[in-house]
Amino acid sequence: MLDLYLAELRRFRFGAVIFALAHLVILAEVQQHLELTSAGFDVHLLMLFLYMLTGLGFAVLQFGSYRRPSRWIWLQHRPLHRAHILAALVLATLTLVGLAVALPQAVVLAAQEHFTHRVIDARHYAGAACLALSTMTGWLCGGWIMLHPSRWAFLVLDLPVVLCLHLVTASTAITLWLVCNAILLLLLYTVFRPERNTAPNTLAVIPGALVLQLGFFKALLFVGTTLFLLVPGPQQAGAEEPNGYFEAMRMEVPNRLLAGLAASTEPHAGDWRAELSKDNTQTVNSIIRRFAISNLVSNWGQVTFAQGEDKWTFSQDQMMYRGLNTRTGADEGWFGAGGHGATGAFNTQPITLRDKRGDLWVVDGHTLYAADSAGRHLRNVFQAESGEWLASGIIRSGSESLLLTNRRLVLLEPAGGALAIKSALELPLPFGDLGTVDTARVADGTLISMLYKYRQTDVKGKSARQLVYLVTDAGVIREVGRRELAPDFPALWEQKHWWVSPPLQALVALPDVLTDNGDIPDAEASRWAPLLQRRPTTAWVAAIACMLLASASSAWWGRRACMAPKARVAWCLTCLLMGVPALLALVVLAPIPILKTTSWTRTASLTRNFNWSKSS
Amino acid sequence: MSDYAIDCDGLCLYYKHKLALDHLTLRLPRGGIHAFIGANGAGKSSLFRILLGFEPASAGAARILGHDCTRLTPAVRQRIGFVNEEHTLPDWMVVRDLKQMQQRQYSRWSDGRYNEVLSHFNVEPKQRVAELSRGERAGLNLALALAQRPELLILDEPTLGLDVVAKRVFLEAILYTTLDEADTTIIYCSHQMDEVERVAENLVILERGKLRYMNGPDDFCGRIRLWGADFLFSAPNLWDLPGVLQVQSIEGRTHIVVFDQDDSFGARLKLLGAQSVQAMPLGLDRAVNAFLAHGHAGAGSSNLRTA
Repeated sequence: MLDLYLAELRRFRFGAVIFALAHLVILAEVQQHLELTSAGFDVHLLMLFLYMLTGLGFAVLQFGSYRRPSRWIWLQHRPLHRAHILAALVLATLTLVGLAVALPQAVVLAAQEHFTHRVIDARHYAGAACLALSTMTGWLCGGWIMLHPSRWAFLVLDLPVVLCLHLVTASTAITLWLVCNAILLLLLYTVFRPERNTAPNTLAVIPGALVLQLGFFKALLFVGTTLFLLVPGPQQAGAEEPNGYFEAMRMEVPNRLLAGLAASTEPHAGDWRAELSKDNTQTVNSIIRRFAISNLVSNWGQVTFAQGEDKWTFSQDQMMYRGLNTRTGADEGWFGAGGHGATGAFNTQPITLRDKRGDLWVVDGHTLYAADSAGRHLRNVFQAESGEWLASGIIRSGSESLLLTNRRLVLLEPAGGALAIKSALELPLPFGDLGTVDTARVADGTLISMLYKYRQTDVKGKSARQLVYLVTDAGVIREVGRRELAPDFPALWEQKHWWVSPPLQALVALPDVLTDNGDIPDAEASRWAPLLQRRPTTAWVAAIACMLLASASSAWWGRRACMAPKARVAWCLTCLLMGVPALLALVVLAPIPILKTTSWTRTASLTRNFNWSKSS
Repeated sequence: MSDYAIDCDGLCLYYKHKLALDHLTLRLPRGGIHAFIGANGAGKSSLFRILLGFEPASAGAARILGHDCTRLTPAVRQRIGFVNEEHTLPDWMVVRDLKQMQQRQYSRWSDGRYNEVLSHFNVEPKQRVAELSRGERAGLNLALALAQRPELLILDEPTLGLDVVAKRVFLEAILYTTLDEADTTIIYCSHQMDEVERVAENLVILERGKLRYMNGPDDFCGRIRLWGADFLFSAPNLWDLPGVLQVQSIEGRTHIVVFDQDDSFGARLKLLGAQSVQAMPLGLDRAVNAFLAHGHAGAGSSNLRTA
């Protein structure tokens, strides 16, 4: 095995060195124009894609040469188990990727860390490791695609998309990439056999079939959605249900409040409606949905901000901003929870928001800070309760100061330099369903409208609705209007992700459920809630119909494909559980054989005349 | 231990929607050099792919050195050498490193045999495989295969594309190095009858996936004869006669190649009007040519029906 490993290294050593040097130069050059370490998630996704593509290309080159019949025999026909041969190739590739991909990244990061004042955290090295692992992922996918007998093998590319492309902590990201690579290695092993043109044994079929089903599931959703959107119907933009959520979202703010108050039985409702205009209404545009959690593998939100010549970059290791004078390159020190020079750590990477009066607020997930006019000093003015997440800065309406969290809407009042709770309103529906919040100043106080939507993946059997509250000057909050919203789309359309294949939908959702991506959760919601939602009856009917149809079709296909009875039963049960994607996987993995009987009359006539072989 | 190096029973293989092997039953005894002969597409390479476990049979069973071909272990593979026409070797490796790699993998490796075979070829240990000529590459490939001291060595058209000198050296290397290994079985697949005549002790002729003949080359030549006949006018239809493989008219004389026909065939020709008849033996090249041409796919239009 060691010899094969060394042989493979020798084969690509010059290419790897050239790639490493070119990679180093490109990284150094790009770093001059775009600070990759503080670039956004989209840039990092693009990098991930390019590195995966590199690995994929390498696999196409390597396995493309090995899969030629004569070279395949040369590789496989030797006194080594195929696991050892594959291990040699994998280890060689791992070494090459380490040299050509990971090493230049580590060199660039280390150089920045030691020779500049730029922020380089441990997570940046972890990010480089993820990029190297993604290159390996591309290579493993490429190997499987090249060696698998089916042309549909490219669907394996969906596995890293489902499993790994999540904005999670560095350690979680590395774990996900390692798990993904372990699965892909197993898949590659199932096709890395001398007789690679035939179907593997039953046990080896299972992981490959599952990956294909996952790919078909995503493909079905994509193609189905695209086609359905082309057909005229209520699913198209502009054709939404009247009195629905989308219609409400398109309204002007005063009109939305008017709609919310339309059925109000309050004696002053007519006066409020008359008072509403563009001048005294506003919408809260900046509801915070996600915070960049600690040690995030990529970047999210406000990683940097500028103050004059100084550029402040958030360090996840210190949970503070570090300053750099962009003209002189001098170190400007730290910007912590107390402001410039303070060393207090933030809870999360903070978000800066300005209110209607122009005051600057800094929110870090659990704490609200007020910044001075120069933005150099911060004052802790409000602390959220345990388990509560702040979801906005201060919302000004007249003299009132409001604050939204994932649990409640809080009315604040000044108290000794900080802000104290005057009164609070528990959110009537889950925070995740909250679409928008509008406020209006009227004679009797402040009107607050909360517009809720249907979450396509979280129905819970509840109707979307709009609720309007009045906050009096005395701090009393009461409901003054409500209206039910009609569903914008048919239930089958809204639930399409589920009824196509409930188990696969759960599988796709599992990484998000198991990992923390910084999304502000619904208050008191279970981690497993997305998997345990109630579904409408129509969605259940559609799911069961699809499963039965897929199972019956698989029985018919299995007979035509001359499958063994046990395999037929296994596939029928799989299709019954997984639905249509499993049927498509069966069609790919067990095609109907095309056998031709050849008639050679001339040879036959000869055979009649002679006894050609003495031995026979 | 099985008495057979190769044991196939009712072997069928559909390859690209064609029947490449058609219920092939073949039992090849151990020891000696067996020449596999057949036209292109006769199923030789398909048979080797099945034997080495690189292609599953559509039907039937195949065993190699007594082991099921679908379950060849590394230990069994160690006992089987394979040299193909392309002489596939890693171009990026140096000869010395390649030899060391193979040496470490094969426990029965013979350094003496490697050096002996390679001494026939002008190959330097420091040369890269990519720098070798086709003949040198073939020599290196053979040296590597023979140094493994395999119990069964499959040579699939190993001299294809070699020049005359390289071909001679290659064959001599096979002959010299196999003299001291009586238990080694060599399967030699070639279209070159002079090579076959020189090395083969047994002849296996495949045609369209079926076994057509298996015995010694001398026996084969003995069963095929060429009859010359002079007919006064045009020759009658001779294809209805038993055993006719080929009929040609050359300068007014009709040449008929027949299989397994004794002197009574001359009497039949005379009965059909031949004024004079003459029987003569055929060389292996022409005998095989006539034998294979009879069933060849392109033989219908140019099947020498010139009589």
